[in-house]
Amino acid sequence: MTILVENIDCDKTGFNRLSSIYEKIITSTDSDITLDFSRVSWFDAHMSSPCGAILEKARNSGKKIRIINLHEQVETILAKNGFLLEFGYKQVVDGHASTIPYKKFKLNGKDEFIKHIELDLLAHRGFTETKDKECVLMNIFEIFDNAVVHSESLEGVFCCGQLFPQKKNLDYNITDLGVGFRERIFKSRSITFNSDIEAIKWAMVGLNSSKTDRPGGMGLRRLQDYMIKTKGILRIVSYKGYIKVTSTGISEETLDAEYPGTVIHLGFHAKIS
Amino acid sequence: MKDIDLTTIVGTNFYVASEDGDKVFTVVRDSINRGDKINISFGKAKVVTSAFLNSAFGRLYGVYKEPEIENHLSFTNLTNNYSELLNATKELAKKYYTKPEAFKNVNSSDVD
Repeated sequence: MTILVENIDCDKTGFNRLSSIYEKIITSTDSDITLDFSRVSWFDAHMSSPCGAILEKARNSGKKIRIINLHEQVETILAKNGFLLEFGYKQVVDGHASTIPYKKFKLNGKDEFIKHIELDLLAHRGFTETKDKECVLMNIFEIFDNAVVHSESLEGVFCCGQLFPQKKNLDYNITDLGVGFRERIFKSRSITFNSDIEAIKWAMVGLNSSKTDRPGGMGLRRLQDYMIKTKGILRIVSYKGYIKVTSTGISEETLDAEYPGTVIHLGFHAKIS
Repeated sequence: MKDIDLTTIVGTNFYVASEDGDKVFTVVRDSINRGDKINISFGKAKVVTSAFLNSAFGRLYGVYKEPEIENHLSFTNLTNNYSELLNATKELAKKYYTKPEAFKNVNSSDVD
């Protein structure tokens, strides 16, 4: 089976397209899947995280996946961040130091994850002028810890980032293919929600937690506050829920297709010296 | 006053996991029960999460009254971020254990 891939941006359309690709792969009776990138002239490099996650899940279910017809600039960026290595492409040296490499972590890989954040993100040239790196590390680790404790993700956690010097954005995505907010909260608190959006919003309130025997629930709230304070962007995708938080407000949308996990997108305002 | 380096309890300088917070909670609870005064050092911390602090120190507010905790427990080598997170943890715990039934509701606006 061949799937024609369209441009992938880090927005609702991009997540809809990834979810649709995953749906087509897992419902196909073919075990050999070809992703045809001939129509892809833009692929947000940090979307390698949610894209790589679903392709890994598909491979784990027995699918063989290959990627063909990459435009040169798309191939270059996805080879620089290491996403294409698993598909037989060679690593390209990132001379501009704009990528944050595509990496996978097991749920028990907290040491490796912290090393990655320190070396690949906090030491990145897009972060050199950022003073409060400790705060960023704390907030990002809260996400990783949430995935470890709550997600039940068999595939682990997938990370990738990209600096856009012109726009002065440093984008970073963390993905797990776990049960998502809605099921997690139902399992632990027996609370039912009418939508994934409702479940995400419940978890974003500072005092709500899936823990029942102790206080909790500060992690996502504090991350949200940090991104607003630093004029960044926070996106949360979980199954059909899509929420975007900026300093000007919160918007929510329902995806047409279900993304099989949770993606946290952190759009930092890059300070480049 | 007994000085305790958190790393000696947790076994790493990543103070992140709830389970590690539980180990700290046990040590602190036992110390308070013996009437000891302890001083906890964050000097070797690499990263601290709210989940860890909730388990280690937030839970104390469900066992002891605030003055008793303050009388037996002090902290050193806290960076501004850790100090701010610890204070937020304490405030959350006080609210949680004052009105725990409110936290069981879907809408937490009751506890603000």
